[in-house]
Amino acid sequence: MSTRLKLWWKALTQRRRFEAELEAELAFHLEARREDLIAQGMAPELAQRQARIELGAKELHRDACRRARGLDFVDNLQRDLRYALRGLVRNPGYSVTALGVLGIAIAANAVLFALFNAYALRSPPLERIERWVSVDSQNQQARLLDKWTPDDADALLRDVPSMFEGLYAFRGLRLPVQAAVTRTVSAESVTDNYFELLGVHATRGRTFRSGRESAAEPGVVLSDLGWRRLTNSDPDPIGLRVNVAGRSFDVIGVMPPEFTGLTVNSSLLWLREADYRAMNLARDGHPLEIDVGGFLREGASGAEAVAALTPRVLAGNAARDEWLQLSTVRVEPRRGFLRSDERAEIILLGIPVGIAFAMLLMVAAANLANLVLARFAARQRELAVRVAVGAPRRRLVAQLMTESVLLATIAAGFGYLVAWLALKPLNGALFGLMGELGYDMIDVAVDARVLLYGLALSLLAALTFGGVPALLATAPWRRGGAAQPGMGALQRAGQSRLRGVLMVAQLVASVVLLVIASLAASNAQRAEQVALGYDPTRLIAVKTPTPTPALATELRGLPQVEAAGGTSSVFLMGAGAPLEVRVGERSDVLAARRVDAAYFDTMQLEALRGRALRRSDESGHAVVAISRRTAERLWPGEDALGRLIEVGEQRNFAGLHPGRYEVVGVIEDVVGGWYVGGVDASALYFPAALGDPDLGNVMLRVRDASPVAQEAIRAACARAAPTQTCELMPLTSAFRFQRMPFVIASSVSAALGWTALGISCLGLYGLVSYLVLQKRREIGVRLALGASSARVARQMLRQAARQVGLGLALGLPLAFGVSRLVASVSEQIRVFDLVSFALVPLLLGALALLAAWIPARRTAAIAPTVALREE
Amino acid sequence: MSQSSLLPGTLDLLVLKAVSLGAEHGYGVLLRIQRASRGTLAIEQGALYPALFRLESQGYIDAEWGVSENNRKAKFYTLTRSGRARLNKDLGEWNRLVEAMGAVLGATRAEVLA
Repeated sequence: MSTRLKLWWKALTQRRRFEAELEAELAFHLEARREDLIAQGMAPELAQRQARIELGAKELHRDACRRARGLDFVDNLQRDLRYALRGLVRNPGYSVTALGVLGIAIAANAVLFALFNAYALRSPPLERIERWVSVDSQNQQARLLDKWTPDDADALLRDVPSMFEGLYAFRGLRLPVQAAVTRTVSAESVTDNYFELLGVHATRGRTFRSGRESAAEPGVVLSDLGWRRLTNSDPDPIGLRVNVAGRSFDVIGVMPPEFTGLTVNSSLLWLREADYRAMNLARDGHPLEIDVGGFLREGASGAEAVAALTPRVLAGNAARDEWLQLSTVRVEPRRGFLRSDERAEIILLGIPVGIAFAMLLMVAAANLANLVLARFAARQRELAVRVAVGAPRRRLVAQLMTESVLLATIAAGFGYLVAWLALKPLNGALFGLMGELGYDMIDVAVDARVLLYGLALSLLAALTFGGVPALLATAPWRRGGAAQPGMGALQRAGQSRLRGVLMVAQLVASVVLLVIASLAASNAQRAEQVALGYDPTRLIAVKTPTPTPALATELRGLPQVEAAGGTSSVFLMGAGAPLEVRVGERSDVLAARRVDAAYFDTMQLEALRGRALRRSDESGHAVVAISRRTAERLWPGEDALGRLIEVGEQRNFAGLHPGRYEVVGVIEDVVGGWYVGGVDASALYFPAALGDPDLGNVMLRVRDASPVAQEAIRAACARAAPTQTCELMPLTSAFRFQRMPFVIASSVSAALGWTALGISCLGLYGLVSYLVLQKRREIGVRLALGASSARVARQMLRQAARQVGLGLALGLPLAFGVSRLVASVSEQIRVFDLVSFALVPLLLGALALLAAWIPARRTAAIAPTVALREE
Repeated sequence: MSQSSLLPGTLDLLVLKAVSLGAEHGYGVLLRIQRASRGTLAIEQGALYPALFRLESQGYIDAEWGVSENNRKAKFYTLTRSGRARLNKDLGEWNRLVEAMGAVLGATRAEVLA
C-alpha cells in the first residue's frame, strides 16, 4: 500500500519526469524490436513499421500505464475542473447569480453558527476537558437547578469523593471596585483550588494556592480585561491595591486573555470565597448562588459520583422551601461556556432561528437546482456527443458535479468572507447593550470550525442542487447505451415538473419568512406606540442591596438629580411581585410593589382619586395605593377609596405584614412590566421607608441621563455606601432590552425574507426566460397561426402565476402555523395582523409576477419565421 | 507454429516468472516469455507495460534505469521479496489448477463412476 502511495505521489509531483520516462521506455521497446527484426533480415523501413504495428496504439498504452499508477483520477479531475471553470467564466450571468445566491445563504448560516459556536460549543482553554463535569441538582418537580446554596456547596466540597480529582466552586458577583477607576464590575469569588484544579496559570504573578492563602493578606487575581480596565494596563500590576466593596486587596496575579472564567459573562477579577464571606456583604436574596464543578478521575463514571454526592444534599431537604427540595444530584459532562439549563434554553431558542436560516439555504439550493437544471438541459447535445465518443455515464455525472462543487467551494469562500466582515458589527448590535450596562461577553470569532461548517454546508448544497440535476440530465444514458428514442420528451416533462416543485418550494419559504418578518416588525413597532405613563428618558434606577436614607440624601444633593424615591422593583424590569389578596369573599393574585412616599413624585405619577402615599404612611400604616385598572377589577363601577384589601402570609416582602390595608388613592395606569402586554393589569403600591430590606432600588429623575451624570451618580453611591454594589439602569436601556428580541427577530427575518424573495424572483425570471427559449418553436407556430404576441405572453405568464399562487396558498397557512408556534412562548405576541397576512403576500405576488413578466414579454420579439426555421 | 492467446489473469504470473530469472527490461521480459513458450504464447506488446506498472505499484517488482546490452538506456525490472512470495503462491495455485484440470480432462468413465 505504501509503495503504491509513494509511487503515485512521485508520479503526481514529478509528472513531467514520469511522462518522459514512460516515453523513453516505449521508445526503447520500439528500437529494440526494430533491431531484432532487422537482424532477422527485414528491411529497415519495414522493420520500423512492423515494430510500430506490433506495439499497437501507443497513446492507449500510455493511458493504461497512467491508470495503473492511479493518475487517471487526478487527470480527469483536473480536466473536469478546467472545463467547469471555463464553463463558469463563459456564463458570467449564471456564475455570478449562483455565487451570490449561495454565498449569501452560506454567510448567513456561518454567522449564526459562529454565534452558536462561541456561546455553546467553544470551551474555556482547559486541560483534560473530557473529564470536566458540572455538578447540578434536580428538585422534586424535576426542574434542573444549576446552582447551589452556600450550605449545600460546602457539603459537596467537604471530603471530596474519590471518583473526583477535585471539586471547585465559584459564585458570580457584581462588586463595587475602586482602583484606577471606580465602577461596579463582574467578578467571581472562587474556592482556593479553583485555578489549580482548572490547570490555568497566571501570565503575571500567581493564582490562589490551595491551603496556603491567609485571610490576613487578601489578594485578587485580575483577568486580562480587568487588568486593562481597572489598572489602565499598569506595566507592573502585581502588588497594586484595589478596593473591592470597601475592603483593600492586593493584586497577586493577572490571567492570560484566553481565560475569562467559565461563563459567558467575562469576569474582571477573582477573589477567594473565604474572603468574600468574611466581608459579609448584603446579597440580593436569591438562595442559589454557587456553581459547583470539577474533574472526574480517569475511568470514574458520573453515576458513581451522583450516588456519592446525593445523600449529602438530601439531608437538608426538611429545612427548605418546596422548590428547593432536591431529589438528586446531577453530574454531567460540561462543555462550552453555558450552564446546562442555559444550554438547553439556547438550543430551544436556536431551533426556530436555525430553521429560518436553513430555509434560506434551502431557497438558495432550490434556486440553484433550477438554474443548474436549465443549464444542463441546454447541454443535452454536448452530453450526447460525449457519450457517442465513449464516455460512461458516471464520467458525465462526475463532470457535471465538478462544476457544482467548484461553484459551491467558491461560494463558501465568498460566504466566509462576508461572515467574517459582518460578524463584529452583528455581534455588537446583538450584545452591545450588555456592554453598555457593564457586562462583558466572551469574544465571538470566525474560526476554523466555522470555516469547516460553511464548507460542509456548501458541499451539501452542491450535492443537492448539482447532484439531482446531474442524474436527471444524464438519465437518457442510464443503461450505458445510446439514448432511447422517445425518452427525451418524457425526460423534459419530468424536469419541468421538478422545476415547478422547486419554484413553489422557494416561494413558500419566502412567504413564510417575509410574513414572520412583518409580524415581528409590527410587534416591535407597537412598542413605540405604547404610552408608558412616565418618561423613561429621564429616569435612572440605582440598584443596590439596601439603599439607606443617607444614600438618597447624597443622591438628591447632586445637581443632576431632580428627585429620588425607593421601590422594591423597577418599571420595565418586571411587573412587581405576585401577591395573593382577599377582598371580601373574593381572592385574587395582584402585582405588588413597595415604594416610599417620594416615589410617586419622582415618577411624576399623580393620584386620580384620593392621595398618593405620604411620609407618615411609611411607618407601618396599613394603607395601599392602587392603579386605576386594579380599582376597576376589584370594585367595578364603584369607588375604591376607603375599601379594604386583606393580605395573608406571604414570602415576597419581608416587611409586609398580614392584615387589612385601606385603599387611600387610585393612581394612573402605567406600563411596568412587559411593554408588549400594555398597561399593567394590576398594581398595588404598599408603603415602605428607605432602609427597609424590601426596597432594593432608588429611582432617580435626572435632568439628563448623560454618561457624565451617570458617573456622578456612581461616585455619590461610592461615597455614601462604599461596600455596596451600585448598578445603574437607565429606563431607556431597560426599554431597549425589552424591545431587543423583537428588533432582532424582525431585522433578521426581514433580511432573510427579502433575500429569499430576491432569490425567488431571480429564479422565476430565469425559469420563464428558459420557458420562452424552450418553447420558441411552439410560440412560433402559434404566432404564425395568428395568435397575438400579447396573448402568448399572457399564457406564459399564466404558468408562472399558477406557481406563485400555489406558493402563496401553501405559504400563508404555514406562516400562520409558525407564528402560532412562536406565540405559544409568550401570550403577549400578536400573531395576526392585516399587513403581514394581506399586504406582504400581495407585494410578494406582484414582485414575483413582475419577475416573470419581463422575460414573458420577450415572446413579442420572436419572429415566427425565424423560430420555425431553427429546428 | 500457431500462437495461442493467454488465459485471463495469467499475464502477471508470466511477467513475475520472467523477471524472477534476473533483472530485465520490458522488451526482454517479452522475449523471455516468447522464447520459453517456444513462441506459443502471444503477449500483446502494449499490455505488457501497464502490467509492469501495476506490479511495480503493488510492490512486487522494482524498476531502475540501467544500460542495455547494446548500450542504450533502459528501465530494468527486478523481483522484490514480496514479489517472490507472490510468485511462489501463484505458482502453487497454478500447479494445483493444472493438476486438477488434467485429472478431470483425463478421467475415464470407470474412475468417475467408481
